[in-house]
Amino acid sequence: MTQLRAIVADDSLVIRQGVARILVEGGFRVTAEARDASELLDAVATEPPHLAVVDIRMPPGGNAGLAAAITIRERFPTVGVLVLSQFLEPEYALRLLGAGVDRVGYLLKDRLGEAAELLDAAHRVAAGGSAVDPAVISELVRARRRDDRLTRLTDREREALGLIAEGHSNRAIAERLTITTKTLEGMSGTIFGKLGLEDDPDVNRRVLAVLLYLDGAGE
Amino acid sequence: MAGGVVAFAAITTLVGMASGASLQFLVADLVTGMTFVVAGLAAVWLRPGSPAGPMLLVCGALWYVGSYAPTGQPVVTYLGFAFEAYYDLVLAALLLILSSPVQRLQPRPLIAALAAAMAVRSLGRLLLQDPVRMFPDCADCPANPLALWPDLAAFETVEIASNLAIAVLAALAGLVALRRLLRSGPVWRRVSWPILLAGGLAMTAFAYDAFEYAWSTATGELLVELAEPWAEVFAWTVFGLRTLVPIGFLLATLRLRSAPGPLGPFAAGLERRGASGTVGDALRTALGDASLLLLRPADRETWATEDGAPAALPSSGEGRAVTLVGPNDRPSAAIVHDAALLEQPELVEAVVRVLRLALENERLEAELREQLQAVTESRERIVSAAEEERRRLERDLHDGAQQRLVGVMLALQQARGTADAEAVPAALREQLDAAARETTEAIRELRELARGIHPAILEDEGLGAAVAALARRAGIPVDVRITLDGRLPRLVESTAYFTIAEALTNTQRHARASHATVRVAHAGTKLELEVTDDGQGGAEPERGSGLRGLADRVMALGGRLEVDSEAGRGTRVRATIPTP
Repeated sequence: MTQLRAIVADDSLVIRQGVARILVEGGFRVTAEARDASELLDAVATEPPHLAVVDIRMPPGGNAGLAAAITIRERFPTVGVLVLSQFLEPEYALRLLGAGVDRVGYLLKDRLGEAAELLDAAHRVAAGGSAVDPAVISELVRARRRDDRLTRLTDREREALGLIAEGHSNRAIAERLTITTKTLEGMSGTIFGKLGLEDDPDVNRRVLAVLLYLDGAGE
Repeated sequence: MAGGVVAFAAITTLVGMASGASLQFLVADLVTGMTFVVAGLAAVWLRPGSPAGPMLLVCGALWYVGSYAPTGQPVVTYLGFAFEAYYDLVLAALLLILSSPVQRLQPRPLIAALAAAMAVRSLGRLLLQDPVRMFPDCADCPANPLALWPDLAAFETVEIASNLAIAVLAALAGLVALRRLLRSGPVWRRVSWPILLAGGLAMTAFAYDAFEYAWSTATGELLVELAEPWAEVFAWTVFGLRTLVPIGFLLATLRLRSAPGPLGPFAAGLERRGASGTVGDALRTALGDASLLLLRPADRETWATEDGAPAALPSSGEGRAVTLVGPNDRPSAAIVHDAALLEQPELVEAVVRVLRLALENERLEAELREQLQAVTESRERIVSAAEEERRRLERDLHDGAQQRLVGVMLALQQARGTADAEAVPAALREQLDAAARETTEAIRELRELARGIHPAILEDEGLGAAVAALARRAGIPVDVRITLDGRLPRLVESTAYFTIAEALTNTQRHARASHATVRVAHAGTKLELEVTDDGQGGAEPERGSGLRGLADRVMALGGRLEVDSEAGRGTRVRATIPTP
């Protein structure tokens, strides 16, 4: 198995190096570091990595990192993009995801304190999946709390729903909830039924359906 | 005086009866004269300061002078005939006084010329005429004992010339009054139209009589030859109209009470300025000086006309005079006027006093406007600066402090990794973990703090996304209905955002509401927003400093904010912010 290549983009040297170190420890090979949006795009174009970890705010200003991340998703569909953000704004996450949830992640910077969480998200994204910060998901869930369909879920089912939305695999969710994969599959059928959504065996499409539901689309 | 006039009238009537005048004539004559007397008395009683009362009484007396003409007593006949119609001269003077906004006899030359023409006619009739020509059917009229130089040709020349002059001058007096009425403002026009009606009637009769004399002397025929009964009708119509004259003058005098003296119309003129004239126009009308110039100080040394053209302040002399308004060392205006006005110092002083007040008022008003403008602008600058400060603060927190904390957290995390690899005491590992947890908490708190100061999403994504995020975080369901077409000016967006945020905060904290609705719409040149809830109402915006401060911010942008919170009926916060 080839080693996963990653690019780290952040205008802060300390954070760049810190993230790179965690990635390297987690088995990635960091092929380039970028200080701003154009360096990032250049580096990705030169040698498309499996993963680009991008600070949402970068020079030349504003959320140039988010814009660059979206550009990478459009131009280099094989590159996974994990955006590190200081904003707990589902709006940004949903903009980044756009129409699809493959190879994308939106993680709050306070997760950097736990190397395992960053690596988990990085691996999921690099492998073609998604990783949405639990805080973002819970904010979406909180906003949807008035929906009586959501109140029909049990606490445990709601927890499972959140984990699905974050982009975890069935196996990971089952582990977290300390249940079998089989039980989880049954549970997720119930959840989708209660929400009036169609269960989809494809993980990414399932995540998207849940996210769209949580965002209130289709109402 | 009135008693004298009445006695005079009684004697006239008795003399007339004795000389065999018709009863109809006597009654008509008596009634007309008496109408003047009654109108005069009423004017004296109701309007003691006005010249109208005495002048109408004089008219009453003079009226009867003409009545002596057809008496058969030679001296009386000729005196009466020579001095008839002088009441018309008095009426002309009264008309010119009452129609003048300053209530002065103006123009004097016109009255002087009219009086002169009357005098020439009187002298001609008295000294040159013999026998009587004015009564063509008076075959047995007595000889004129006063004719010092009887000369029929000379008499006829004087009669024609003086009567034509009288006719023209009387018509002119009427026209002067008419012109004044037409050029005056609505206030004065409303007050003074009866003057013109009565005076116009009088002047028409005056001019007609004089022209009739000139015509019949020149041609030997009457101007209007009417067959009976039309001659009778005409005579009574003229009689009726004549009795209207004193009544009209009385009415006019009474109406003038509502605009006493020249200051009323002047003040009204000052109020009107801008709409129908300048301060100068009001002054020219009030002082009756069309040549008057109003100069305003342009700076310390120079002056400017009302049009703003630079002008030199002329020195008094050559028929012009300068009156300064306000303190002499720092006058607020200078009036360059006809030196003749100096003969009416009280009038000029009174007008100047009103003018000074008006100018002072104008100056204060301009000052106030300027200050208000400055305050408005500075308030907007302050709000704008505060907004800029908030954005800078938010950026600094995110890009500075928060980034550094993330760096610290990474370092702690690395230290923990090292600690795991090395044989270090467990206590140190725990301390590192605690430090990392604290740092994570600090980062989260900083994030919330920065968002409260100025949410990045507002600047990046606009008002719609920011309000949606607000609604998402609210503790109760919030319906958001936003109709926006693109981005709005930063200051408008942030003011709208914080207004909605504060309203939603109040709703969650105090209203006990179960539901809220936010509406935002950009309509034309203004942004309208409304936050309603179904809570208990009774919010008092005066007491809550949050909404009060927001109302200030909204007002600083020229908008307004209303809070409608009747107890038991929910709360509605509405704001309108103009969008440039």
